[in-house]
Amino acid sequence: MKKRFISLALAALLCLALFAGCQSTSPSAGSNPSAGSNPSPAENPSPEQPAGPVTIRVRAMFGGSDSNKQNYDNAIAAYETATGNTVQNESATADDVWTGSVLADFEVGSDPDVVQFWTLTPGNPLIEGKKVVSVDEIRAVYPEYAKNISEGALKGCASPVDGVTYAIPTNGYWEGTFYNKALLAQVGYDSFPENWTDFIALCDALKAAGITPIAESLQGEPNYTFEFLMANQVGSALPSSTPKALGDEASGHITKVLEHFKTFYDNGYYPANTTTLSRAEAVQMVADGKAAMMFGGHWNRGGLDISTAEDGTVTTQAATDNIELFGFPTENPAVRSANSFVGGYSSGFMITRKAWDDPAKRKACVDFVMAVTNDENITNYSGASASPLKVPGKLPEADSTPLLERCRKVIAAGENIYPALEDTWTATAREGFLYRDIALYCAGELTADEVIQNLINDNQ
Amino acid sequence: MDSMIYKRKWPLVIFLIPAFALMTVFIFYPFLMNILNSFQKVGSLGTGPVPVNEAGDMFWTGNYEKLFTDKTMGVAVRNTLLMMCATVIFQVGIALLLALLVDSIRKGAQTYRTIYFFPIVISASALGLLFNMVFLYDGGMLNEFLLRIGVIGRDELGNPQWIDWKDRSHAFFTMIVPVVWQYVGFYFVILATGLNNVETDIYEAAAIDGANGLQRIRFITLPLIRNTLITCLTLALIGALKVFDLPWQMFPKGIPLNSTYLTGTYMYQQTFAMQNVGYGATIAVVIALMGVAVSQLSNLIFRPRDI
Repeated sequence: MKKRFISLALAALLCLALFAGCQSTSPSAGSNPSAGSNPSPAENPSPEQPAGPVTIRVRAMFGGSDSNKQNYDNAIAAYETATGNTVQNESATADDVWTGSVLADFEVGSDPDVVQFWTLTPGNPLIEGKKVVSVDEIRAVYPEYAKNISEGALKGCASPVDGVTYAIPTNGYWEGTFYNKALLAQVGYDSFPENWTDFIALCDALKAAGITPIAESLQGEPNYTFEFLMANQVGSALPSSTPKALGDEASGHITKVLEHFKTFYDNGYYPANTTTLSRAEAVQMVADGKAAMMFGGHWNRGGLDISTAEDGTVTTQAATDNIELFGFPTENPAVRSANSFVGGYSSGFMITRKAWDDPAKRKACVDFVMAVTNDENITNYSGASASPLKVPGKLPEADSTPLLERCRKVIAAGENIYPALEDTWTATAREGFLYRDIALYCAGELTADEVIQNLINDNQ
Repeated sequence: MDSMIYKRKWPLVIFLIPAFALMTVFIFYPFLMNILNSFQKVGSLGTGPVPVNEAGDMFWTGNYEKLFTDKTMGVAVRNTLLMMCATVIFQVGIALLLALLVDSIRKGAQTYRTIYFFPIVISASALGLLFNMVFLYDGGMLNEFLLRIGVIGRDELGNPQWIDWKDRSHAFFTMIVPVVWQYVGFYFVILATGLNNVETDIYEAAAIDGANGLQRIRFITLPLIRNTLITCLTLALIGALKVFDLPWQMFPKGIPLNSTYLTGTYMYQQTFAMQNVGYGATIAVVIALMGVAVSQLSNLIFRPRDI
């Protein structure tokens, strides 16, 4: 009898264990009481103080191999020490897989409390589903929220869905051309050519000298090249130049861009293994002085500047002293100046509706976002990129490098900065066009019309 | 021991309930939902299906129609079938050869077992990074070695003419080598254990009858370890269908030019990167059907028999 009782008890325990992972929801957290309606600030209850330390769950982009991982981890540690709260830090490198997993969290009701996410097209489902809280709504209760951020930067993060700002940007981004001035000097160039004809002549000269002109990972990250080639065609209309139908104006521009890619590919400006080269290998080619240039973002500056070994030893890359930053050669200065860049604000920290409606977590989340976006931390994140602060902070001398300072000067002197076109596309379109079809077109396996038709289909 | 528990069956049923419930929640229900999704238009993970036409229909066969016109899916199926052949021939073949060799030595057999089994304990991600370095284009271990021995030459400017081990002509070989290398030890251990169970008396009798080494393997060893060998072949066939991590680490997004997708990696790309869950579910159905077909085929060909 005793054994039977134990057996039954164990079996019951096992059955109960099945439900251990099911989330319990406190009445205060509730399902989403405001789903379908975004309450006005006046309707908000006054903030309630949590009874004690709480744990908040945060999904951010400052994880994995991101150059700001350490800065972000330090900011979290400081927040935890100051408040006694605990942060369940679920950060990772932001790619399409990560983006999908964050959206899936929201779709299945496993909303994090705070999320650092895209403000343009990939983030639209959060706005459409009323999953995050606007800055105005938070400021109605916490007037100091994001007061250190310039209104221009906040407006730059406004959602395309309703024009309202939900995200607090931490750093803007820019894309440009990193080049090795010593290799250019070898073939007789003392500065980077500004017009297209001279640029092609430079690539030919480098090729003839046995130097790989452009370190490009054709299936890794050809998006930077694409953005500049497209900006050369349309200038400030870049973010609204998605083709809607074959033969429309944007299709013509994309066709021209594809032809440029094919020229680079056929003329041997790319490495011989460009279709199998990883992005990290491409960056290393420039860092080692084996390629003359690469098109990339501010996040690539770290890879060109320093190398961190697994034991933490930091060494300067071989070609660092010779690396300079430039915009991108222009095909028509009236459309786009060579000294203009692709960039802007495309992501930021947002507090979720679920956390905002939970009195136990509301203040902890507001404090967290204010802590990780304070002046000191944003200065650290910004590094070589554009800072959204009202009064940009000065990076500690120890964190600065000569290349970083050179990049800052070039960006500060830039004439224009255009938001990227790819940020307005669906993940399917980005993956299909940028990381598959451009390479297939270059290899002669797809026509321009097929590539554009795929893009149109995938973007719906 | 009280034998009541064996006389009455219902307590056993109670013990089976948790496992059955787990399988229902995490295998049967997702499997059925996957089939449902394969007939629907579903975007990113977690989102619901959307109407497939203006009439508001929720079900269609569009994903299956796409499957038959999708050239990349054809490449993925072909590569998966080739991977199955390669694993059977090379993984089990090399494992059998090594097991026979180790079985024939008197000293150090245990050491060899440990050495050959060792790759199994290394994570696929680590192996992927390791082999990426081996097959690296510029300065990779293999290319450097070939340069040193003169197989790789230099152009007129003195630059080495590296071999791209990941280009279309080499990619499949480069993908198979680490996959085979990783699992040879697994089958080696199974086969070595099977060889241990063969009585030495039989070999001694054969030797007295004048049988040479090859004849002993052909007429004694192989028939006596037939069932073990069949187990290995079945595991290798089914395992080849599930290979994912190593190829994905070395050939993400089917590089170069969509030529290295396997059914598993293509399903992942469609579901997680391209956020096309409906089509990913369709590919998953194909993988499940291939698994059933392969296991039935292996049962038919390799039917175990009593010795």
